[in-house]
Amino acid sequence: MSSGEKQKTQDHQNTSDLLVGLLFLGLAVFIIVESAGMLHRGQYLVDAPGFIPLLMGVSLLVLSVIIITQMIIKKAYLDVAGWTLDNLRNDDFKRWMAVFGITAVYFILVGRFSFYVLTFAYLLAMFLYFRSTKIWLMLLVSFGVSLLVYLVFYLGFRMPLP
Amino acid sequence: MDFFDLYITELAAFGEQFTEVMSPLVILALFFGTAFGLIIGILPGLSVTMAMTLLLTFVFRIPFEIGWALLISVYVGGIFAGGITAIMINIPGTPGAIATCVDGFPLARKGKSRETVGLVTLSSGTGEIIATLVMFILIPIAATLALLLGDWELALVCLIGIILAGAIAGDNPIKGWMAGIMGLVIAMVGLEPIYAHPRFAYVPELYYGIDFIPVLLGIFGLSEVFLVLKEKVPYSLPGKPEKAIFMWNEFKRKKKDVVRSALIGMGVGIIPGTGESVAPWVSYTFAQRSSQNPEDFGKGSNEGVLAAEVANNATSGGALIPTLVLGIPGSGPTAIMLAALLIYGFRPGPMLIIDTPGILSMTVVYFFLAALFMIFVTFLFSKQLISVLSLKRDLLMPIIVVFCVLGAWAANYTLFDISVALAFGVIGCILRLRGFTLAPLVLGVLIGGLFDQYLRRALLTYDANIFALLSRPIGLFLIAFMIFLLYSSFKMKKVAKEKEKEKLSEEVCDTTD
Repeated sequence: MSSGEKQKTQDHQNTSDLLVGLLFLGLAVFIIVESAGMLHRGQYLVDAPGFIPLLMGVSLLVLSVIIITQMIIKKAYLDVAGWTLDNLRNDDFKRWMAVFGITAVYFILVGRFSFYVLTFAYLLAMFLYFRSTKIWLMLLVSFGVSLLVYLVFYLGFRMPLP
Repeated sequence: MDFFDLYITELAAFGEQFTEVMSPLVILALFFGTAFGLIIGILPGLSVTMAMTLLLTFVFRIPFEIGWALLISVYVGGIFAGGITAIMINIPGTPGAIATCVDGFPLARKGKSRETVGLVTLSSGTGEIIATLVMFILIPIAATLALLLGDWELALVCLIGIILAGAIAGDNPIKGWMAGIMGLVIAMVGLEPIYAHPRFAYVPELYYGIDFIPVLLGIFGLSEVFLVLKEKVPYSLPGKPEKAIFMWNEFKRKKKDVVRSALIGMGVGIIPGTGESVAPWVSYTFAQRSSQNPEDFGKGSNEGVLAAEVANNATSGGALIPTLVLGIPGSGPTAIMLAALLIYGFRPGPMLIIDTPGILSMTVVYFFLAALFMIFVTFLFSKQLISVLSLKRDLLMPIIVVFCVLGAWAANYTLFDISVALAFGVIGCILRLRGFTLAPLVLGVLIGGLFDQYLRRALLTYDANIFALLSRPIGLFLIAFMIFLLYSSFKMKKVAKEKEKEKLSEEVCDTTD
């Protein structure tokens, strides 16, 4: 890896840390606001249901501010556009999005369709996306796993399936 | 009750329960669990924690003895198998096996993989047994001491766990602490224990809190699937898979090294969230210092592989001490074991071995047998185990997703839990990509409820007077101990980092040559 590429990777990592820091900052503010609303219960402030979450929220806020400040000092904000573009072009990111997309659809549809059919379709879709093996083997594995789920969990464990 | 009475009660109870605890079904579970753990540990992309999490969602349907035996044997087999991948393909199967790569892979490239796997199997099994026996001696003593702790001290112990796990398990302590705090907040969702006031409960399902099983499945299962499938890392075996060679005489000569490495692994393993990744490096450094051939280290030294692998296996004994005595897991797999105890209705803590005599002896015997089965299975099937490495991960990972869905569903039979698993899969994936370690997060989820209860009860008892709490002698000692542990753990981490850097620079030199 050339020094230019190394620098670019480092910049991207800093930008990612900045964005994650901002996400945590948002989460911390949310926790503080929500737990502040729970402080009216109890004899003492420390006894209120919101006291410990409030402490956690403040600690998270302080830590995320430290991360954000570190990244601002490293001028990570200058690379946000480059980071976004590079990620959109990146093959790993595209693969991640595809895997997540197919899996999310599977999770959303669970409970709405027959679990066996859905599992068969999900596995086949994933195998086809990755071109894992020969088509007949993909069909066989998808069918085999669905059958295994039926035999082991439904018949064996007598577990109601989603 | 002093600790001597505890040993007597423990052994007497074990004697009474012997036929139940050592039934043929339990022995079968131990055997197949070890084989399963070995396969999982070797399979590319699968971790022992993930396998145990999947197993956890179904074990509560079977009797405790069998479920506990299964979890322990998968743990023992999986931790050891991580070393085989490190030796054969230079990919550590577990974080603890990173140190094994340093000398293991060079040995494999020299054509000595069969001898190395054989030697490491014997030593790791022995190391595991030594560490477990030491654990048996230490746990009653630790439990007797832990009975002296009040709410304030127990809250401090929870905090020590989170702080240490955050500081040591990852590269950046701040990120570790952020993950730990996030875990604590997740544990506080739902009706709080004192006034039953709903906290962060925006939908009816959240009134019951967030179940830890879908969280664990998301964090250890789905996030791993997303990360593994994100990139295709090509690797190849250095040669055809062949049976391991067990060099008994060589093993006998290394007795001292095995005992030393086991004790180091066991000792470092006690520190919550850190042992597994740090202990092999500490043991490796000690082995190099005491070796007659320190120059061989890094180039393919049997002693180096042995030190790293024995310590890696021995951490399990150490990690069980805080798990069983304080309810604070020492590593990812022990977090799952803690969760299993909770599911089975036990309450891990100083009272566990007093309320449930026999459980400690049972655990020790299961570890012991699992270690023996590990040697036996590797002795017979090492060739087949190594050939598992050629399985395609893009064929395997989607199947894991199906089992994660089933596991999340089995927790409470609600679709909500399935969504929770997916959400935590994404959160876990993003955090891992950014170098956040997930051990403190899981620890936070598991002990968050207890921490909240202990701290608020302590504050109420002392009329919210924090200075009165700070003046309690054991509390003061714990605070001092926390500072000392932080310092020494940072130091150990530094050693581990330096070793890793050395390894990297040597690899760069090799490539340049």
